[in-house]
Amino acid sequence: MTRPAATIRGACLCGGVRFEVARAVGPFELCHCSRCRKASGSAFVAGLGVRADDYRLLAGAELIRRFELPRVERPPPYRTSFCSRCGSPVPDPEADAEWFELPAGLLEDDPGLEPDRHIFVELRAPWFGITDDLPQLTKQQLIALRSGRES
Amino acid sequence: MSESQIEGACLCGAVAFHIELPTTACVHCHCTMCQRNHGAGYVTWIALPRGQLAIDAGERELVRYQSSSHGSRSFCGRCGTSLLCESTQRPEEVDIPLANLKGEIDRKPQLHIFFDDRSEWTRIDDELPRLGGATGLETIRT
Repeated sequence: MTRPAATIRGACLCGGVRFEVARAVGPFELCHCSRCRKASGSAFVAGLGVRADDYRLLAGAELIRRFELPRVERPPPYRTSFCSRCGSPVPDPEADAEWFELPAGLLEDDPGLEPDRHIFVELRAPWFGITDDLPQLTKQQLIALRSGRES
Repeated sequence: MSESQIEGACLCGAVAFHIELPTTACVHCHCTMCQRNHGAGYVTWIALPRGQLAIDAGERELVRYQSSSHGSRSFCGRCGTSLLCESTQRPEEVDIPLANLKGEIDRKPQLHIFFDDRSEWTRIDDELPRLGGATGLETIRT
């Protein structure tokens, strides 16, 4: 089967859940919050922004299991979806979402974007030092950025 | 809990465990299996003798996935958090993602392994040794 050259493919570790995205639009954010660290079992989650219209699940819908943590502050609750066979986090956009983030480690092709920033840096793991020169935003700075105010 | 014990858990808390220090290693792994299984750029693992890990709750929630001829990865079936990596090549040891421990351990990350397999978008600017090549464990920069 041929595919457009720009299509970005991705899959979970066992290959049961497979998807493709026509393009990645970003932002591409590295989240250091404690929930993302636990959910991913890594120093930070690499969340790549894609448009829902550009995303296509190719296989494995029946394998996807969803977990929601009780919400801490305001909706939406923290949600993570994973392959029930291998445990990999997998994309799982809400039905009405126009845009969502997927775990970039699942990608088999270069998304063509570089990470934009580190976020929730005040919550980063004590054993992890950020050594690159990307912007480092706290939760408050991120909220300001997303609300359009100067950060 | 003594000072040499560190608690850990998955995201939902169903699986809880503790380890006894000292660990034997702490490395950043860039292999594609780690990327896919964690959805991350790379995974920071600790290794320790099997007898120094105790599962305190939720052992029946653990789902084991045989990820290669010699390796298996286990995760919480409720929330998906990856918790263990085991290899028959090192049967006396078990690996745990450092991110799932609650306290500081006895060492900092020491080196990068499978560095040549890193994602296109991973940027590493630290001074740690880098291992890569065909085995993922050959010295490519000290």
